[in-house]
Amino acid sequence: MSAPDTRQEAATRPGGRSPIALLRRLPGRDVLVALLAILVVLALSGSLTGYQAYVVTVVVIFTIIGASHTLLFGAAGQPSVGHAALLGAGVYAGIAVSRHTTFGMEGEFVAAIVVGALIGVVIGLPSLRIGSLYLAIATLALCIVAQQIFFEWTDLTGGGAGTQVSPPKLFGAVYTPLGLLYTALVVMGIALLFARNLLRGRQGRAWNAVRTSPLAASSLGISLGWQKVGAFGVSGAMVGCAGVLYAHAVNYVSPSDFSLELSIVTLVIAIIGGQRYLWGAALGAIFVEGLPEMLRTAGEFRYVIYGAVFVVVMIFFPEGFAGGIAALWRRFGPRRSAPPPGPVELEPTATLVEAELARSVAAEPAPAAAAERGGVGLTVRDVRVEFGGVTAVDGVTLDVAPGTVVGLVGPNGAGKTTLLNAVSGFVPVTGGEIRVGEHLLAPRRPAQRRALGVGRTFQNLSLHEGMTVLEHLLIGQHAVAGYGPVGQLFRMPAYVRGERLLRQNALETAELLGLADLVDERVENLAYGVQKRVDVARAVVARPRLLLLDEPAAGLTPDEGDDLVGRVLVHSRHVGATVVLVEHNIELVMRVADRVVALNFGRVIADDVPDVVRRQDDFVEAYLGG
Amino acid sequence: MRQPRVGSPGVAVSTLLQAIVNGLMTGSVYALLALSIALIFKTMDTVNFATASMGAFCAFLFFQVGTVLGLGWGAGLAVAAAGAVVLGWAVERGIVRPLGSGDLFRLVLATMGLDIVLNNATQIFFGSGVQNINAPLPSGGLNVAGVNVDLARLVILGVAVAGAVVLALVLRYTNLGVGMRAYAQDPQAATLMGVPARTVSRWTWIISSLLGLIAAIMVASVSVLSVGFLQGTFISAFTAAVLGGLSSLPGAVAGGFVLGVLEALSIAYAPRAVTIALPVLIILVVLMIRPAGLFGRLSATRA
Repeated sequence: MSAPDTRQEAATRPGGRSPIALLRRLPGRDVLVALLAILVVLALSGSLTGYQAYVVTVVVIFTIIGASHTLLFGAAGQPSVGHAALLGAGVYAGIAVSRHTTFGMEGEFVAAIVVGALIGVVIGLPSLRIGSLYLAIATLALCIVAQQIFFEWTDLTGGGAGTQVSPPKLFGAVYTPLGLLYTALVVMGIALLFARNLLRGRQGRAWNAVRTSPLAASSLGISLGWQKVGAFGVSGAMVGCAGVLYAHAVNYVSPSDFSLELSIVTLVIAIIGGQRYLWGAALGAIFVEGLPEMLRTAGEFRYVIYGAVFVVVMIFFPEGFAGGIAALWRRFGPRRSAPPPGPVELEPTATLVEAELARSVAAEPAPAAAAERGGVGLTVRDVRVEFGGVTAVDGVTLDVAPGTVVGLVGPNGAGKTTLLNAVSGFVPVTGGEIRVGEHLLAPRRPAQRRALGVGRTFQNLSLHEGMTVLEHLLIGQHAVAGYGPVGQLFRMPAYVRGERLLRQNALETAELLGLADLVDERVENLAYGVQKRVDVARAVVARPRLLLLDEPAAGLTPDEGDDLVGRVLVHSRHVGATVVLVEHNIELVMRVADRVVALNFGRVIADDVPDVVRRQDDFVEAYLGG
Repeated sequence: MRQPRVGSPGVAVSTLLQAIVNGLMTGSVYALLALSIALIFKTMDTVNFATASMGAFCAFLFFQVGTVLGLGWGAGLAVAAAGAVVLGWAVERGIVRPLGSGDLFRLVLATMGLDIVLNNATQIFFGSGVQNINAPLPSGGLNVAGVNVDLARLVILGVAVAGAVVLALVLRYTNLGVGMRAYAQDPQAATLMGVPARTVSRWTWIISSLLGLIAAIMVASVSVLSVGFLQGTFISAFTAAVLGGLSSLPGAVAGGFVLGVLEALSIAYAPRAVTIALPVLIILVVLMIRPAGLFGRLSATRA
């Protein structure tokens, strides 16, 4: 139990003597650095010519747009080639407000944010049905249709001739180009702050989970549709906001501005800058919009140059400028960490003895008591699952009493994992019904089943690449975080309190599964056996009332398998959770389960206490071939 | 160009027939460019968004050599074809192979970058003027049962059909074609069976580039040549390919003709806004309802 203690100590200990080291301990030091950068630009802006101020303003505007891709593409994994449509929506919403009302930019921003978010949601709707390549195609199509609408809507846009934008006003005061630059910097600061707040915490984790493993995400109660469409909405609001600034910066807008090419340029900014980093958007914007202006001699070659550099960066720096800098920083920076020498492994320490002991203690679980402690029963009635002509599950009926451990065994292809998938909602049930407690599962989507207390692990691992063990344990608690996106956006007390509790719970679960020393490791650096533990830990951390374990010991050494299953079952016995254990290691199942259900060819061939099933003829025949 | 909706039954029938004939002729160009897109998608699992700018660049070569330098359209065609081969080869060697097959979306984005480069390079090399290529096509038209058939467009229809037939023959009867089909089905298995992956990849891009060139010259010969002149056709051809399922070559051809006829019908009978939005509407409807298109198969990784 020492690991969490030392960790907390490390977190509260002042990091060294120097003021810089103290500064580094501050929770919002990234905000301070960003603020400093903005102040430097402000200080230097006094000496800029009008044209230079315009270029800097454009860079700032495209930083906001690039950052919108950081959320949408970098975090949530949804590529959009339709951002020119969003920018146009923001531009024309702003123009409409300035023309028809007495509001200045304050009103324009509100209108542009609302319209941008709405159009963002519309552009994002196809993401409910289709994957990334097809989504890019759909957003491309929407971008083209939006431009056509702009061309046709001549009252507002002036059609092909374009339209003049009235000079920028903010609360009645008319602005100079320099004033617009100041406004743009402030807006960018706020937009990036909100984006950062969203990315740090439950919302950002959910988006990353959806990108890296949609299946696991939905098993944790993360609704794929809401997350994707929500990301499009937030992204659209940011771009709409940028649209108001854009209109005033260029003074004169034509529908031909909002071309497919512009959409691609905004995506290029995010990717070339490093789509996983918000500050990468600034680097990308400086490179794409600023550099060609600085090198005016390049003239008409600017598009050729950046197109070519883009292709080169795609090939050689897949994580963009920011990714490259971050990698260098990790290697040569002041707090460099030695790269892990290889996959990190763990020595198994626990045995099944404890799990067996736990079974004998819980030998007579009164259902009422189990319900109190949190377990919930599973009822499966005549369930059939068919794929085309193949019947994988053929009328299975079984009952799992609350708080018990039921082993589900059978040869390959017997329908065990399919049955689990049917309970999770990943495969459609073609007949029969499944209940968790009182609740019928049929109408509920996979993510909604988490709310009933259903949690599961994955036979072939379904981890989130690039994220640490701790982040996995935090993602696992998505459904029980206790705060929402708004609380997170404004860093309200609920967020701070919630994050602290989630972290504490995550570290406790890490301790429970022997992962305490590895919480900061990225999962792809871990050995298979340890990854398996992370997969299980992510399912256990939010205390599911019904835990579905899909071959937790498969691929592990016997010691590792015993260790992992032992640890999980001791814990679930302790908290009273119901467990369905699918496992090929018969001896293991016989030792820890209260009941054993054997399947063969999609049918139940045995259902009794382990010692009875063990002697049953057809079970022995199915397993050992007679 | 709105056709009258009222009139005698005979006029209505001939309007309908005229729209279908026009549609088939436009559709043949879509079909050819859609083949170029679908061939890449089928074999390489990616969409080449530089299809139009590659074809347009080579069409400019054709015009430059044949008309500006006055060497005749035969020489122009030869140089343009050589240009298309070199361009296809260079894209495969310079972009596709270094990016590898790991992240398909990166390849898509890279072709978008290439599109920007090529469009602007075209403008720098050949200027932003609007040119007429004066292709050696017959003028005038035939009148068959009240339907006017433009001879130039009839020739184009013939070229497109011939192009599709040649491609089908190459895929069916040559070693390369069989290798390409095997590679498209299962790259790993095909490679293990001795299909040279690099050769397949190289020739896929070269053939696709050549198809793009033919489509570009066909479009330019009935309209004009200018920077980005093929973009509109690309959107339609792309729609046709999506309609056909993106990975199906017969689907791409059928999609091209279907889209051509639908467009012509909407020009004749529907408001202008519908005609403009038609490709986009089709893409959205197909993607939402049947992503595999009319003919395609949908692999799990792309769904």
